[in-house]
Amino acid sequence: MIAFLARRNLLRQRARTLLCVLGLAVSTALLYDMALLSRGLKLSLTRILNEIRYDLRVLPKGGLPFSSEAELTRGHALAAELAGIEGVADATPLAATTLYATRSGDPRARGLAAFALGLDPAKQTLYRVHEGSALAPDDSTGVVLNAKLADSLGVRAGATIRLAPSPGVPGVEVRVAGIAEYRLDLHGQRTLALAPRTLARITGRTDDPAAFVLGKLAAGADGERVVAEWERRHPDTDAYEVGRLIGEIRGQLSYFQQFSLILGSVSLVVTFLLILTLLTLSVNERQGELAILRALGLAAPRVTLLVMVEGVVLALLALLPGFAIGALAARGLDAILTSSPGLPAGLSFFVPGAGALASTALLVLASATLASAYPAWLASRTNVALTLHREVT
Amino acid sequence: MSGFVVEARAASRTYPMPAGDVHALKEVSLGVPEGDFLALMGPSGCGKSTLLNLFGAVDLASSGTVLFEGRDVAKLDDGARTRLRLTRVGFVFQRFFLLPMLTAQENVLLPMLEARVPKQERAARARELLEYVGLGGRMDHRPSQLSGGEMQRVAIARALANRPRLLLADEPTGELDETTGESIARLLARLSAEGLTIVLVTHNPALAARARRTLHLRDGRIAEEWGP
Repeated sequence: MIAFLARRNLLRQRARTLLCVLGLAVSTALLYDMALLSRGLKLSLTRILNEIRYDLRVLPKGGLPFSSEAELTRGHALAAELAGIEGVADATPLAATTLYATRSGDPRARGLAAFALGLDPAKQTLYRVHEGSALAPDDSTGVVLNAKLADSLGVRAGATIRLAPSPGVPGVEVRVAGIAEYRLDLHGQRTLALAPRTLARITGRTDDPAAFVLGKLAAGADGERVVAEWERRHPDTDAYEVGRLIGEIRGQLSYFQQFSLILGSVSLVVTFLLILTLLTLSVNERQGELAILRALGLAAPRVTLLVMVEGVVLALLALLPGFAIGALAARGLDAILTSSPGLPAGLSFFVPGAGALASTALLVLASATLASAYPAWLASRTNVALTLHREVT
Repeated sequence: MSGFVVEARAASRTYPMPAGDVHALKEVSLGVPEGDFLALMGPSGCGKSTLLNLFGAVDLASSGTVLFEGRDVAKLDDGARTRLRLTRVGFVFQRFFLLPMLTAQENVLLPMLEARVPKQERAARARELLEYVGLGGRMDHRPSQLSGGEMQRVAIARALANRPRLLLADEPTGELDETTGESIARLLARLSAEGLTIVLVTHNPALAARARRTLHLRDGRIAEEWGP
């Protein structure tokens, strides 16, 4: 009965209901996007770091991975020491530097700057090959390029290129073993990976530099305890477990959360005001009808329920289009935000998920319920005799 | 038990107004027995509709008592008064007051839905009532597609939906032309003849003439009574 009457009441003013639902859909879309933004970065980072499958990072003091020129020396010795701590299953150093690449047999070409990763081929989890093959464990002449670098050089798997530590230097000839997608690539970045000894051969460095050391925890190991032990041994470095690393990065990007909180609150206020205004107008227009319903035997709590249901139905109708608009807007906004320099291409600020859908729906419905309370109260306190008298005279 | 369907005992109704209290009804005592057909007449503002509202439990007396089936209406809580209106009283208004977004049939179904009458029974009863008032062929019409007389017939069918013990009609022919008003008067007379207790307010002498008795009110009091 209440649902039937609410449906008919909303349908009788189709244009007004449609406009209200559209307005609510837009504010729902904004709220949904803000829900995605508030945790998208964390989810996305967690996904990327989990794909790398190393739980620990040891970095030069005060830095974040790839965030500065700071580096560790004796990378393999540090990795061996980390692997020796109880609870650590494995560890490997990761070197990072800039190399200049040219296609073999093209002496006029200027070297293209590329981000070079020196990593143990047997332990790497940073790239996924989609053409050719990965580096073999004992490979000392092969490199794996990302698509951007391969396209820039005009080479495919099997070709040879030259890599040099600075432009204008002839460098060392290496073979392109494969073309791969790198998990931590920045937008437009040219990247290659090679074995540490190949890298040392090119750069001439013998101090085994590392941007950071990756560690893998044994099953059931206490990461915080390992980190504490490492920091006790090496106070000149920072050690992070993945969760803490994500926390540090989130802390540095906390303005996204503040931004989503403010805009999300604005959208909830808009939802509240839209429903409050529409229902208050509607109740004032329908005073006579509400008085009739009361005279016919509809109890005051039922009239309250009728108006509340109308408010909640408006919000329910707005959810689906709101999520659709929100998803489209999130895609566009994500493209803008992730094109910022210095961000991994695989990172996303808006990660869809059931949690964001559920929290948005709950917040919108709660806002609609609150907004309906005042007009519902107005409707329930209709003075039947007086209103009917007024309607006749 | 008073023996009346509804009874007013020294019932008064005063409306507080900024310019001073308005005494709409002054110590009216009146009983309506089962099967009665009572017409209330009198000039505008004499308290007819106020008395009807007290009988129908949509308003409460400022002093005195209104008993419905022997129960003091003022002592019932809002829920019980609402239940009384739903199941024991049928209302017919001058301006019909049909819900415009519902069809004739849905308007009639409405009180039965609220009273939780089983689906098949209420559908059959709505059809039966609309046929009874001569609108069997217009069940799916909205109020905007009906004439004034037809709307009032739907309103009467709606008032009868939960088989009330008392039908209250406030100027039921007030918005209708003479011919249409006459057909409504015949319908009410037929209901009375079938045993329904009816109290109506009217300015229409032809309609009042069909009542078993007529009370004239003046300045909130019963001035005279005609009838058996």
